[in-house]
Amino acid sequence: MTDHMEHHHDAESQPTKDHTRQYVSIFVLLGIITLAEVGVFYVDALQSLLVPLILGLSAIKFLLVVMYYMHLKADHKVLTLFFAVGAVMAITMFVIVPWIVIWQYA
Amino acid sequence: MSTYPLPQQEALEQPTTAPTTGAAVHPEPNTGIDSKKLGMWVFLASECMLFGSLLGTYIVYVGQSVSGPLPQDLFNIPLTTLFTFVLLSSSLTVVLADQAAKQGNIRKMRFWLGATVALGLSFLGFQVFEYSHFMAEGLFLRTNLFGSTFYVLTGFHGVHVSIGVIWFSSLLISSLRKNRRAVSATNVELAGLYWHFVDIVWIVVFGVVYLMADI
Repeated sequence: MTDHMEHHHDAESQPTKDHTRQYVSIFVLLGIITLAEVGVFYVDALQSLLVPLILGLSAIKFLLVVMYYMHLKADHKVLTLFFAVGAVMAITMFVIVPWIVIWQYA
Repeated sequence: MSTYPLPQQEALEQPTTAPTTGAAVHPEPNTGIDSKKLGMWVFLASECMLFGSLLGTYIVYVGQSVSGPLPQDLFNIPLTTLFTFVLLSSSLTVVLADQAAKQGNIRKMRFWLGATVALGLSFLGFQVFEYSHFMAEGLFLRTNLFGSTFYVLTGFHGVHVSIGVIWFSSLLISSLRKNRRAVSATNVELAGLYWHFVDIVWIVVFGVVYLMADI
């Protein structure tokens, strides 16, 4: 019995190339950004900038996972388009809609 | 006992534009993208909207609670940070399982799939602990607007994590039973895409719900 499995590759993928170092580097970067977020949370002097800093750092983590772990950076652009439409609608719902509602009741 | 599929069965999986039998075949898609993968991305786009609306509802209502307990009374940021690392680590193990599957290294793939299941279960354990602690402090679904929106948002995320753990467990069991069709590199990649999405939802939830609790 063989220990190798049947697999089909997309035209864009490079199955034999080892990306382990890149994946671990991204993980370390994600960890550092998470620690930075928690640091911002605990530092009193940064409380006025808490919302933009947390949203900005979260956006960087989001993009790192989507581009490198989900392979959108190297994958077909149509997939990026589909996901971008969903992401933009999500951002509209959790950033713009709450802002409008809170502004109306302020 | 399940065995590796017969050559004829494997042939059914091969994309072809010139079918020679009446058997079901996978024609080349017009987009040039694997249909399963395209379907998964469309599904994830719709999931973005689901979690976007849940987060929007949480943001609108979190400050409207007229009675406690409130977020700042309950959240344990160091512990939540630790389990955020657990979920981030699971994204690394998933991408390594995906890479091993594409390289045809089934032993490595099994190892990383097992690690992902263990990390996913750890995260679910954290969520159970957190919920039991919050309930002991008097926060239930009906207690206030914070309780309602928090439990619905994080509960939906927890259900997604549970589905991911079941999915990876089934891939791991199938690989141990030598069911090659079930653990094709494409199937591991699809499960990986789903899991990374669950991870990015938590990235946003951690920032917006936990770290902005005092706003």
